[in-house]
Amino acid sequence: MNLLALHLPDGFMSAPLALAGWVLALPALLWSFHQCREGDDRETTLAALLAAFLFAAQTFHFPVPGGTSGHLVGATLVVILCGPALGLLTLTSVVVLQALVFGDGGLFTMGWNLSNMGLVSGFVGGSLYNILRRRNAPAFGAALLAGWSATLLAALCTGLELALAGLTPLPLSLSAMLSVQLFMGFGEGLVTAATVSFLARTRPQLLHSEKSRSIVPGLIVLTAVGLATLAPPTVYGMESGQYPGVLAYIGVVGVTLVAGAVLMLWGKR
Amino acid sequence: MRLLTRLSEQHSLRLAPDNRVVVVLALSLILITRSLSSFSQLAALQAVLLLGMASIGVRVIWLVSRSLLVFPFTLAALPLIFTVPGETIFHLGCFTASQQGLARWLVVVIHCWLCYQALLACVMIAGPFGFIDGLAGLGLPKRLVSILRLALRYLDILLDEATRMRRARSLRGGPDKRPLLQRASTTGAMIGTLFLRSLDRADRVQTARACRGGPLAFQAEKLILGAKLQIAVIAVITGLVLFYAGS
Repeated sequence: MNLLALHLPDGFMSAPLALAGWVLALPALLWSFHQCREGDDRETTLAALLAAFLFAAQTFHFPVPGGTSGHLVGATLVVILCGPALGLLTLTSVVVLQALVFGDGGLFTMGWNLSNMGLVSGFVGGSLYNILRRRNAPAFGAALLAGWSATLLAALCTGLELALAGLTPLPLSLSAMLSVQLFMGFGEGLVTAATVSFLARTRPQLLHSEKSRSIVPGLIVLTAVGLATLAPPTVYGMESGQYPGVLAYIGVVGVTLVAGAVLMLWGKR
Repeated sequence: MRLLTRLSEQHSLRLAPDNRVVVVLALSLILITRSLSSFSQLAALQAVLLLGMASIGVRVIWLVSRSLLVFPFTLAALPLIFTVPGETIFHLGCFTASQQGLARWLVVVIHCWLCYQALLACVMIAGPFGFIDGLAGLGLPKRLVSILRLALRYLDILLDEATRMRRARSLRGGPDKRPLLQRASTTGAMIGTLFLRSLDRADRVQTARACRGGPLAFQAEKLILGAKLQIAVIAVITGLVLFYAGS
């Protein structure tokens, strides 16, 4: 589903705007390098094999409600499996190889793509999973909600970026991205949940999230996204009269999260 | 994997530039493309790019057909046709398409297409591994370079593994008519199994590396004077084009 994918190709953004994406992604990338320094060769090998694994996992298509099919993005899954630091390194490799070999994304816009897939989808999804697991939610439900919400949040960010680049009016980009990813994200959540619950049953010691349930990286990213959505509408090239439309779509994300929480409570009973 | 093989056919080219020069060329071409906005300028750049690539032996037909992959992404900018004010072309329900909007969208499409062609051409010149080495030579952290090189090396193997698993599943049963949740559960179990096999392979690779005593650290070669001059020439040309495009 390239039409409303979470990648931005080169040519969509001016050079300064594209470089702004790097400013967002670099601190997190440096942090992940710092965190993985101790592991050295073993972590490097693991990150490389996980990146190759993610490409291979993306070839498994899953059914999406509505008769179509999608493929796994895997950002939340990787962070749940190997933690935020190694997960971000893996996702960075995936984003670079996707741009160089498969034509998904670009060199200049890589900062934004890394922010969408690594920081928003990966960190927030991983942290949400940890929050829910801390409250003894079942692994399947926690991963489903984490994968779904993280995909929706990444779609929200991509919509904001398309508007920031002056390509699509904000209400239109948000409505298109969120409505499509509402279904695709559910598929993503479902496969993430099925994979995590399979591993939790068979090899629970391999899940990083079962050893460390840190939620700080996700909270930092979530705060940044929250601040971005609170920016004045003129930043996104809109007139102030259109602002209620945007709020409505941000509301959709909120409602989805609340609905997910209700689903979780229902699952716990 | 045919794509990686095709991208690695740079040995048949009539040119073997320093990988760092190729990376700088790719970045410059993307910057230049983005700075041009008239169709005549973009057409001229396209002609220069294709003629240049053909002259050094890059298969331009494959390059152009492969770069068509970027078109579905450009559909995200389609609303420009209806949102940019200008002379009306047609009405679609309550939306009005404008001539200026169509021109703006076409410029975005050509920008994306040319940028990807430039990147793909440069990856073909250096080869995927060479391009990554070029990025390393320009300061990409060595750790990330090692991960990228290793991931690229094992991509084929894990993709084959995934293909075998999918084929085995389809041979065991016909069209899957089970409910959504059960089908997702099967896919999840297969991805989980693939993850376990990837971990096993990572362990084996790491053990083999330890046995051989080979370090993972990547060492970039020193930049020779000829390559420095080539980078300087590319930088000057890019600067001039950006200056004239901006003025």
